[in-house]
Amino acid sequence: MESLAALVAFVREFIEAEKLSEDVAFDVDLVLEELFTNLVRHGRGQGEIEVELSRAPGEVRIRLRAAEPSPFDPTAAPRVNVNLAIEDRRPGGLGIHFVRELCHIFRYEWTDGVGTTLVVMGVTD
Amino acid sequence: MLELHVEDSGVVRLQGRLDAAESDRALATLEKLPGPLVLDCSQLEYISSAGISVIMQTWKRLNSQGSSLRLNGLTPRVRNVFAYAGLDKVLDIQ
Repeated sequence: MESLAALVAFVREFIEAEKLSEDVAFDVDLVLEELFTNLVRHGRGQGEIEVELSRAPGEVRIRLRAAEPSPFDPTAAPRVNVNLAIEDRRPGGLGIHFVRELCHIFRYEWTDGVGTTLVVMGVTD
Repeated sequence: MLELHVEDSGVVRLQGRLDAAESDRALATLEKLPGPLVLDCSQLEYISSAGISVIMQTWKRLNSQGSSLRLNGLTPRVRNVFAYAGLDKVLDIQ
């Protein structure tokens, strides 16, 4: 998980270049960490994971690309019931739940051994 | 980077980022501490699902011992993450 520090630095550079707010920085950090750790935790993206951040009017786009021998679709992860009592909750699934909460577009595609996840979140210009 | 300052009064001050890189170390520190515990989150800048999991595991441990966990001083951004997780109303958050 040492790579997380590099991700945080990458996000910081993007936020400053695009003059985005600290609220947006927090949300981009959160979505990126959850997608990244999901890939690593499931043994995917063991080689290089390519991360791209881009800005369009009213939104920020995050794209992750990794070599994957077979498709591993995070958008198909089971939904978490956040209304359960804490005692009844099981670990896992919350990270993808946060991505769903924060992003109005959440897509995955797998072509020729490369998995690409695209998320888009709304931001105030 | 996360700093955990354990005070004699059962207060643990969290400073920095409680993310996947820091969650194992945070849990290792918290699980050695008897309850009741108060986590002072006023200097906690960031939390992810890995950090939420540390808080939930600590809550479960203390609850099973008949003790308690309280969170103080959350910033609005950190509080939002607890809200996304459905925990803002069920944990003792001041």
